[in-house]
Amino acid sequence: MDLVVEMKSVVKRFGELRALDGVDLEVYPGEIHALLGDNGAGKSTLIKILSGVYPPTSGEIRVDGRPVAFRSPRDAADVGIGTVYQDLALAPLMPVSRNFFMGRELMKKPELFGVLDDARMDEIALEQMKLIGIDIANPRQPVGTLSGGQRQTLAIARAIYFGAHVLILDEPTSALGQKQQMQVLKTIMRVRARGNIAIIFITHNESHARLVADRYTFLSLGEVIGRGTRDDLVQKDIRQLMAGGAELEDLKSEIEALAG
Amino acid sequence: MRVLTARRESIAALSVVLLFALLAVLIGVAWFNNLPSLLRDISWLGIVAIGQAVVIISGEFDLSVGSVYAFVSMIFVMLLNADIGPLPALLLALLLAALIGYVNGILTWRLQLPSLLVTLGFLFVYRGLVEYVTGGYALVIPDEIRGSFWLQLLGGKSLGLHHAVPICAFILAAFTFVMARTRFGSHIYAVGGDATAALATGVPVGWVKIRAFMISAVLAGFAGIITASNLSSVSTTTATAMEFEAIAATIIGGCALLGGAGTVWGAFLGVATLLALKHGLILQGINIFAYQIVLGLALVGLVAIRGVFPKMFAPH
Repeated sequence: MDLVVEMKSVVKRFGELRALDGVDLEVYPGEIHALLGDNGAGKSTLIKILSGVYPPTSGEIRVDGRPVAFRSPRDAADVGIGTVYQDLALAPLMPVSRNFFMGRELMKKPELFGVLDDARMDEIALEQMKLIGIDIANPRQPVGTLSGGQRQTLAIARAIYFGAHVLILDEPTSALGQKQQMQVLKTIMRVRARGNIAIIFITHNESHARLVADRYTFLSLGEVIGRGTRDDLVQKDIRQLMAGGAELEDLKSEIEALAG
Repeated sequence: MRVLTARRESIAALSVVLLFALLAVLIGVAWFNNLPSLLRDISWLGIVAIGQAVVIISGEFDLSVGSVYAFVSMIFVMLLNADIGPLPALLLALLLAALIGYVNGILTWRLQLPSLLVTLGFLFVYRGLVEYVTGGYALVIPDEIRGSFWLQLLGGKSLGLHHAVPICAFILAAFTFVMARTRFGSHIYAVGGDATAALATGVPVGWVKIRAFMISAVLAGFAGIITASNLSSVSTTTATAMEFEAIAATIIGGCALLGGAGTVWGAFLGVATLLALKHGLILQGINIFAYQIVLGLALVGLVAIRGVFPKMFAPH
């Protein structure tokens, strides 16, 4: 199977700090790839490189088999990489459909006058959100009145509609309550069911990754410390890796010593 | 009735209806005789508040509007005295206003300075220029051109109605449409609602804000010009503290203080509220200096009422 995204030996230095130290990432079409790791592991740096926010210090990136060198997020978007950040890039006081089309509004002809085609924007926004599982009644309701899960869905639907076939989701479940988290995971599975969109799902919640991901890559301190398919890794190993493996054993004996 | 409840503008709409009814009953015939000049004053400040609302919805403030109103109208009167003709004077003065707005916007955006600071600075600069040039006196439009077509169009009166009223109505309708139905309007709400989101989705945030400042300055300057055309003079104290009235009206009218929500017609209703109070005080023979007390209490009181009864007066 051809890789949709391939990152090879990617290094990113910020002065003395090596945020990424030779990281490989392979994403297959139509799959969910969980990118796991603790705070400071380098997950954010990796996705910012992949979404064109800043260039790698060295290393190679291929999208759909072609080498790319992004100079801006716009370049990444042009080859179909859509990133949904934690802040979602939504204006809470504005209507759903205006948010969906923010910066890319549809206008009535002649477009010279800049008159918006609200009816079409409403229709498309509702339809696209319904495709991945939320059915809201009123496209004019302010985004602030949506639940956290619905907002996430809106941002994902928007990224897909505007051409993303690689969808990067930055901690989509981390700021949500239990019920909302499940809603987002269902949304992610519905996107996967469309078959033509690869998802890079950044999380530090291993049970979420285990629920939806086809493949995993674990980062720790800028290096890949584990990778594999769903079948390769059982829950125990994941938890072990997430907690820092051997460090956890050390911590355990230290705690025992303190308690002793 | 919908407009009187559950909208950001509700408190101002209700205030206007109640105040006009109450003052008509209290004052009687003198209230009705005064309506033409009340409507004229509402139109003058209303045009300024429309521009202020655009800036505030975009997430900024324009404290320079009162000084720009005076400065641009002073330049207009000086150009008339230089005998270049009313239309060229009008166009040059408006061009100057656009430039003033552009400078406010570019300093705010390019240098990332707070607009509160930039426009406060220019409040002093343009007021200072007006004080320096007028030296405490008034500049007057020469008698022989007062009856000319353009000055009559801007400052005259037909069928008992000051021309300022239909002019303001037209501007209000135009900006209500622009803000609600066009891409530029949507961008104003977007940059004021969440500038980071707007930037991330490709909205030209800086250019949107610069245009908002230009609209504010041009409308303030234009309001100054039609005022000068009506009164035939500009003085050292023209439009002092007008920026505060405009901002107060805009907030009473339901615009969010930090941007992203509100309407220009809400700001206009805020103006109608404040000026109905002002004229009511004058007609009741109360010392005009009481107006500031009333203005302040109205601002805090009405905003407080909105906070206490969110179901009645705030959007759900």
